[in-house]
Amino acid sequence: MSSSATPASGPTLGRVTRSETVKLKTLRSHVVLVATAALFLLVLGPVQALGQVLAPKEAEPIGDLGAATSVALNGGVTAALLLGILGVLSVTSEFPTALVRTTFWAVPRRGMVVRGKAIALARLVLPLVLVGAAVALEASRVILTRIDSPLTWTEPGTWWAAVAMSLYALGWGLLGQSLGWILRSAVGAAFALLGLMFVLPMLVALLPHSIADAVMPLLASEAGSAMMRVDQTGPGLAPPVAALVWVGWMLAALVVASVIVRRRDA
Amino acid sequence: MIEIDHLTKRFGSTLAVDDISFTVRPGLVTGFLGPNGAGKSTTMRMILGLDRPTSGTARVDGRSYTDLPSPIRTVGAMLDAGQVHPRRTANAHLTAIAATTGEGRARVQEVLDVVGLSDRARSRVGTFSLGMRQRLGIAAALLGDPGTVVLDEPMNGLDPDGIIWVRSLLRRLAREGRTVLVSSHLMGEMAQTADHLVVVGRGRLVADVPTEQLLQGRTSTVRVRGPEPARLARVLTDAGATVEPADESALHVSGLDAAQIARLALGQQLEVHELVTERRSLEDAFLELTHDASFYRAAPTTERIVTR
Repeated sequence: MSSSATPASGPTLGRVTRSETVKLKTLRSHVVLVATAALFLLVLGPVQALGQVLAPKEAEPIGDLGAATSVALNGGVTAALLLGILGVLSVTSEFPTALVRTTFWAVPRRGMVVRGKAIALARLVLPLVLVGAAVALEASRVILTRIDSPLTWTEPGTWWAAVAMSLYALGWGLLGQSLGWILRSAVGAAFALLGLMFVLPMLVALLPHSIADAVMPLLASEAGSAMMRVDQTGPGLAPPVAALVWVGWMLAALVVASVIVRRRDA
Repeated sequence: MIEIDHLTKRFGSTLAVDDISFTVRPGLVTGFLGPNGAGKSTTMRMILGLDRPTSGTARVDGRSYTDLPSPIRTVGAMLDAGQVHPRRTANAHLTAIAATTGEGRARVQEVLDVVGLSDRARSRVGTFSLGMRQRLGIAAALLGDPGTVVLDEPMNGLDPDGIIWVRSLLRRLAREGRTVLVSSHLMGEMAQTADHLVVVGRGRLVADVPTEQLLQGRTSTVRVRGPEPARLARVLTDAGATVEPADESALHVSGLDAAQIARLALGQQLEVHELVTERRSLEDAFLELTHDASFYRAAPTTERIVTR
């Protein structure tokens, strides 16, 4: 056996991220989820745009840039949901087999594993969704020129739509990872994620108006959709503020996950 | 070098590991023996910082595992062969672990060669036999070329060739000056593999002795058969032996050897029809050790027995 030690031979955040990237890319279920998410993002928007062109009378009219980008990024929310499930599975797939013990044997500083997994996911998801959103927007723009739509790259709102969509999808992924660390079960974490994004706003709406109005805009689901608005009008938080709230949710979820994972026996 | 000091782990109301202390020294294969559920795996998880001790410490090379700057280059571990995602290939699994130390393809290939899995590197682990998964686990343990190796039941599921292979690998690792701790619930297996044995039962340390000593220590009794077992028993007891009836006409005698018994019987004119030295089987010695509550331990030169 050859000794192959290098001077600095321990785990670093960069090395852990590389290790987690290998894990992320070497399970077929992960690859399928990423490919499906990309497909939804690329196809659904342009297909709806095509519908607008072919049967304009039956479709909602595209009055402003916001309506146009939401047509183009029609597949984005589904893609984000799938990437949320990817986030869940990227963590919970380690638990039934106790692979997580091998992981923590190699990297006993568990906070570094949580961060490394998050960065590995971000490096995969951000460019993918950014490019996917840009392609969907461009394809839809070309299709929609037939009916004289307001969609154009000269509007900063179009760029914002692509960036916000990437941030939205990443957020789902990271919330999924955090819930995976906390709950350790794929089904449990997936339900918790869907509950957080779809059920929680409904429950908050049942609260007295004064409380509901104050809390509602700060929910992950509401901040996420407010963030993706390309104009400054409409209810809820202004998009840049909403983006900060959204990022706050991701960071808070990861911090809670790190604390819990460090305390628990593996 | 692994130092376990008053290590205790409680899960709810169960005491899985109860105030265990021992040292695993380099250059030897140390067998960690005990029946299933005796606390071996829990102790190993605490050595690796996976479980937090309720009290006490486990240190490797003087540090707690989580403080090691370069963990898998210090301690190679295989906790159980299942700790791999079944749908990942052997190659991908090892590559992910190697990446945490900045190692790559070359090192992965080396350890695959060492364990003889190069041909199956691109197969999913789910298609592997238990023996092949054990080899993969050992490959992972060796990735960092560690000075200490901790393996939980590495011979489980191996065929005889595999067992011989693991045994010679462990010997080689010890010869290279590494610290080797190997758990098993099979005494016979460990007797042939380990230089030193640490035995636990019900969470407690039962023995910490060189293998030879445990095997020789209290291993023989003599069966004596004759027409007057009661008189014979009195004579032998008077001479300091411990006597238990074996059946109607025979006795199990310990504390005297066959020659001494024959001489005493002749002196008292007692007939003896049968005189057999029975070496206790290893499994018997093991069962006896792990079932009674005595604490049997040898310092390098002296032996002491403590009863709690």
